[in-house]
Amino acid sequence: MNQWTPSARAVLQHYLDQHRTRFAADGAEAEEVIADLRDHVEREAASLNLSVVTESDVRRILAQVDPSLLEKPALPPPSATPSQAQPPSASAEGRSGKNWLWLIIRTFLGVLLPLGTLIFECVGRPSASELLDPIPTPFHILLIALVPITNALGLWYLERSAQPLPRWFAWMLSASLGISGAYAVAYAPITPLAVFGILFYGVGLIPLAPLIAWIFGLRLRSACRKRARANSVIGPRHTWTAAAGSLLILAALALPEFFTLRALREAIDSEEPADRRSAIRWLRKWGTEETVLRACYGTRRQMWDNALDPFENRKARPFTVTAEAARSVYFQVTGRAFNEVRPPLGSLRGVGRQIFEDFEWDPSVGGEAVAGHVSGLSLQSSRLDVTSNADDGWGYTEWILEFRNDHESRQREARAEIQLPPGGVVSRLTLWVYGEEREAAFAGRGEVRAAYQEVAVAQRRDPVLVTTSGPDRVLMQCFPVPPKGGTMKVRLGITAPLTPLGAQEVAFVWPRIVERNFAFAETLKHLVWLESPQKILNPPSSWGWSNTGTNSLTATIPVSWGPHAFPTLKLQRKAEATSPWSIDDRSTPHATVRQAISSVTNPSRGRLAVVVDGGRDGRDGWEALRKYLASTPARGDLRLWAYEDGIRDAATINEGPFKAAVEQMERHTPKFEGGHDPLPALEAAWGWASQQAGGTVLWIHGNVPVLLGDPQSISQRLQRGEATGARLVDLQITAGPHVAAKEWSAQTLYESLPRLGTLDDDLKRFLDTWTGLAPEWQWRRERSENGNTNGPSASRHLVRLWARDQINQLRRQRKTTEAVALAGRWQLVTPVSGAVVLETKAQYKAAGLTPVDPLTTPAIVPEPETWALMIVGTGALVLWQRRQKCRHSRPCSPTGATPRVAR
Amino acid sequence: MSDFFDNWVVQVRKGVLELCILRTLAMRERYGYELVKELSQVPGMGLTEGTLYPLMSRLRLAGLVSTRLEESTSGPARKYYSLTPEGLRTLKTMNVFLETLQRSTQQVGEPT
Repeated sequence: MNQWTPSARAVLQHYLDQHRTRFAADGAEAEEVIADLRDHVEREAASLNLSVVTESDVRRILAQVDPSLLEKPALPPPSATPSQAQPPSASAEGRSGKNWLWLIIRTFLGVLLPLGTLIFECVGRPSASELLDPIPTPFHILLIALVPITNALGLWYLERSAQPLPRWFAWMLSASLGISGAYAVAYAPITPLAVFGILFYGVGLIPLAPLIAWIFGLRLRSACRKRARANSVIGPRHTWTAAAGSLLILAALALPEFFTLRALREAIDSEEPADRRSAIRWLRKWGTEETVLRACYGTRRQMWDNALDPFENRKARPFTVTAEAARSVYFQVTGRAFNEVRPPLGSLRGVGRQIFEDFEWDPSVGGEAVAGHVSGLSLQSSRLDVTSNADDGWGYTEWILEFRNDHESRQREARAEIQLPPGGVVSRLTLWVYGEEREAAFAGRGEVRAAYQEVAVAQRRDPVLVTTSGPDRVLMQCFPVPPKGGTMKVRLGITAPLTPLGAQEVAFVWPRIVERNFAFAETLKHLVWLESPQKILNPPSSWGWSNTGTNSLTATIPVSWGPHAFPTLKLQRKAEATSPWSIDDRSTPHATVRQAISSVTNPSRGRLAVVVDGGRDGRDGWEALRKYLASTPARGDLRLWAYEDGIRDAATINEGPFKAAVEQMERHTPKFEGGHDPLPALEAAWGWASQQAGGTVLWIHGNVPVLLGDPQSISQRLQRGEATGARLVDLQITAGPHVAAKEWSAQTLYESLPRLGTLDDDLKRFLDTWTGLAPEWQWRRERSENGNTNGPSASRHLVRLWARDQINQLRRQRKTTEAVALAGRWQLVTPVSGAVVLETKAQYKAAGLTPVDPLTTPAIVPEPETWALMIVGTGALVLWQRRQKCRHSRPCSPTGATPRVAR
Repeated sequence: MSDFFDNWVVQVRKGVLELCILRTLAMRERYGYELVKELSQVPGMGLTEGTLYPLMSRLRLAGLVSTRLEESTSGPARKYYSLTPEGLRTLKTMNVFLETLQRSTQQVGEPT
């Protein structure tokens, strides 16, 4: 082989380029002819055995080959040194305006369009939300980015010189073709629509980007082959394997979603329970959580439906992966409620991504479920003001919540399930309308919900609704939070008893949000202020504390601190403050309500059946139980069940020490994964416990966001089982949804244990009192019409708490009308009543409701008319009592006064 | 006279050049350099190598010849030319036409 000087090559190329136009005019392919001639000259030079080929050699050979090639001797500039003499660009000279335009068009279609589409999808995710997710993983981005990069490289090579493209480029191009082809096929169903959109509306280029890039790639491959042929270069063989490889990678990346959806479907509509369980197990082990979560949010892709079962007749057998069914599977697979996690955002974050990815349409407006997160909606501010009296055993919390909606166009409904303090009741509801406070109307549950739905859903005006949602839980919903940064501000007043821990100690538990459809703003801070005349025994170290005049705690708690930032507070009370009273002046006849604290030490009861959740959240319950049993001296009949995919009979103690169960537990420890159906285990436990009088079923479990069976089986036992004296005690480990409690909360035999501290402490408190090892402290409230006002008077919160108890009693007696009336008089949200704030008087009138007088609502500061009412009420009671006595005993003075001195 | 003859020769050469190429390729396929060298040696054709390559390209574009590349141990890959079926059919037609033309030409001016 001889060696060519750079100038020799440049000169050869220059002469040949001079004749490009002529070759083309002769009907030949100019590139090919030039390459053939170059090859010919190289062979001639080789045949001459020249060690180094110079410019003059080139001219000599060209003269032999065809003298006419030298006829237009436009040699390179004489000043150019060999190193500077570059081969002229294939198109650098004489490029016409038309060619420039063509180059720009090619660059746009082959490079800018696919690149721009990729960036647009990364930022906004329009395709992911509407059609299919083209970039479910970052690896997909790299694969897709290969297409515009390859096209840009190809264009650059072709424009830069007439040399053949590097061999590696052929592999790269083939891989790129595989990728763009795969996406073109994926988007094929909407290609006609996109073409239609471009033709008639001028939009739709983006869905066509893969197809256009693929066609561009094919043309690029053709040009590369032509260039190679022209240069007598043989391209690499079997480059199709690169395309096949890229397709295989894409397929491999798509397989998890494909198989997950297949298993999801199997888990939902397989006829055999065993197959459904098997599918759930598969999903736990291999499934992609994000795919199931996406199905929970209803963003299932139609194209997958057909891919899963292309021969299925969809009309005859509709696809069953509904959002509701997927949520049930999601719980079974993960052990969590689908709305505990943000909607599926993939592995990326981007500007505006949330707007596209979250629910655009909220199908649950006005409903009774919190449902999924909606985009743009957040809790912007939160203020908790608490006043309490440990001696009198009550606490009153006002929680002001302000929601903000940053969505561009949609109004939003904010929904939250709020866990109240144990025994608590919502006693005030306020909505700010145009900066003014509007108080709620309290009426029957059905009435207020109907009014809310009429005003919120139909008229789209400003209402807020609060109804109960299980034991010590309420559902708050307000609509509409206006778009584009609009806000809505509501206040909940919560009256709650302080939970007695002993004669001299009570506990205050904070209300908390357990389920919500909005985000917490990143800047959200809970502003907390608690006041108590009595000493606070465990003020958190990070909170501000003052005891000037009254004891007060203040704190600003960032939302990032989580729910543990609100510990249960213990307050000191005087042991002798046993019987405060207050006046019920809203009922006729007026009466006093007196509260007393007492302790009861239970004798050993019947059988204790413990049912423990074997799912994701159950481990803490299992460990707490094991720890307690290992240390308790209690004896008796004990059986323990754990429920997972089936029931596990974990321990049995017959008239023996509970400690002995620990060893059995070790052998039957569940896996603690996923979420499970508790009903079969509860049925078995109830059946065993109720065989003896006074049996108790203690159910220790995590969140119950969905019911996997029919709760009526337990409802029936709770309704009909009074004769056995058995009861179901519910201890929820986590602060989250609990739909079963909503079903059973009205039953007398159902009891929800308050969470005051750690799970260990709460479990020990219950089991120690159950086994008689520790006394059980409780409040007793009684209404008396005898006008006894001895002892210290107290806030009318005592009457509200009595009214709450009384309403529950009336419900059990099926005296619903009386219960609703009592709830209306004392403005309480109970299972039979609710509170709604409407915007105008006309709306109230249309709904047959009357908003409460602001002077009658509770407040953080002493209620405005409390003292006045006490004086008037006391006077009225005394007067009424005297009249009664006069009527039944002896004549009274004209003033109604009695000679006896009032006590 | 001289100019006229020169022009006529150019026209005749041009007319039969494609035929010569097709006939050469009809025997067997040849790689470009070999083909050009062979044809440029044909007496009376006055063919330069530089004029052959555009012609080969044109015949390929017309679908009469096809090309393929083959690796060579002695240098760059060789570009082989061969007749396509279409090229073969065209060659036969051309041969028939040329024979007819030759006969007709010889008969022109002869006493009948």
